[in-house]
Amino acid sequence: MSARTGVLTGAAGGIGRATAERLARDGFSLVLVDLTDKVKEVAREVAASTGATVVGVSADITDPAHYGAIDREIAAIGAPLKFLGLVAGVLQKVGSIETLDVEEWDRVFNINLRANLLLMKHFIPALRAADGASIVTVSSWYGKSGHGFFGAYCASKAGVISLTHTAAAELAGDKIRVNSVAPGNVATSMHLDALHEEAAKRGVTFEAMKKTEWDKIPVGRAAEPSEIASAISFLAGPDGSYLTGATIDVNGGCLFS
Amino acid sequence: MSTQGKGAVVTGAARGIGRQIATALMEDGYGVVIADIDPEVGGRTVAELGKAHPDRVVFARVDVTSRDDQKAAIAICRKQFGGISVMVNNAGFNKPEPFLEATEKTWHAIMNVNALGVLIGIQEAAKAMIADGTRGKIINTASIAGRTGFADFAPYSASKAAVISLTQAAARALAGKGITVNAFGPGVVDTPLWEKLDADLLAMGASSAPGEAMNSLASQILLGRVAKPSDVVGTVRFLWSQQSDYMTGQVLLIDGGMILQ
Repeated sequence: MSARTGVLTGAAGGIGRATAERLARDGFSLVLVDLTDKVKEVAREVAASTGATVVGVSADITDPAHYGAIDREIAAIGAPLKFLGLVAGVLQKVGSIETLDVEEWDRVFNINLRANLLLMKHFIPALRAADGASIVTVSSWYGKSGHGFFGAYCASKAGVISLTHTAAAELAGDKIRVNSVAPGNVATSMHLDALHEEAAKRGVTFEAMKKTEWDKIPVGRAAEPSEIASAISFLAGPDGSYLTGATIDVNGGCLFS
Repeated sequence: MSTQGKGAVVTGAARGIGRQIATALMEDGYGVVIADIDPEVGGRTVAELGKAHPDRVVFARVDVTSRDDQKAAIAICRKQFGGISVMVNNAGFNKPEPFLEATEKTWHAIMNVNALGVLIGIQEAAKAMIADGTRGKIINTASIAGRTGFADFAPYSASKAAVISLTQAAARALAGKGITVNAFGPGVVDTPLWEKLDADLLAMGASSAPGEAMNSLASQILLGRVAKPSDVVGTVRFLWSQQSDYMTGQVLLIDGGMILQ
């Protein structure tokens, strides 16, 4: 396949890193973006293990002033931008609606939803120019159903699914497909930290909290990050060419929707 | 590639989407049983698909509403290919009727093939997989009509909603055995089923020219065209591949962006 570039946010996290490895093996050159400087090291490691061109950019995706650094790396690679992977997201401070600080709501929405809108706005011209491209958002099963103590997170991820639909409708004529992957529980530090926090909130042990959550999953375990990456790879690749506006639920059966 | 233990059964595989799925399974190294009610077209399909690998494709005459027929097709798969690791419950049909005129006869015929046929297919494939210790993949053909009802094909819409429910029930029942059950839902696809639908809608007076009903539906598709069977196969391949091992009980719509659900 001819040269193609992809941009991936949240690339230093569990799902982001696994997706970078997968897409690099699929033949993409990649610009990995994350708030943490660690993303440069991740890029070096993925480049070394796959042989692909992979560079890291430390940037705050909530601020478009930082996007120029991403543009420069895309230009340096020199291949058309065929893929935008919007993986970056944060969990909220666990708490009821009654006690939730509106600043926390804003923080979660800024990163999980508003930044994705800004990134789409910024990269649509380049994706359109590539004459055949795809955007994949990472939503969540929590975006398809509300859950106590996660009001901001759930609503932000529901917003991601809705934004995916709107973008799919607007961009089909530009040969840009837009789809979402909705993971269930994934064995990343984000999930395990959340289990610790929720256990403390509910006054139970971590093991008991983990059992409570994992027993709800028919497959009986959380996903490996690579299992989310494989769905993103599918949506980015030729086998997904007739899909747009779709959400793929990779959740071990914990929610049927 | 060895075909040992890489057997698959595809119902309704003589033509349309089923045939394309069978072709792709063979490309991936599977031995495939073409299970279909039509021995004439089925025989031709086997002859054509078997040109490259005559030992990897076989026909079984199957009426999916008959448990004995389905059992026999699965037995052939285990005997010829050493097991069954993929079951695609794809057979289905549609007969449009205006909503107020939909008959009991049509209801029972469609529900029997499209819903009961899928229940039997899941059950018999799962029994064989459990007996063999196979961590198999069961894939059912749903439809966008299972997510949103269409006025002129109420029984079909209901039968495809049933396929989605059966997929979910089976996913819960079989996860502990390492068997995943998922469905895919095509939108408007250029297949014999939709050609007949277009003709039936014309005969019914729901459209006024050949192709009009299809085109009117196509105008609601974001990608601007109806699907070819090959557009659907990529998603089905994803569902039988290891790439989807963490998915069960899910429905993937391949509608080119139509109902956005």
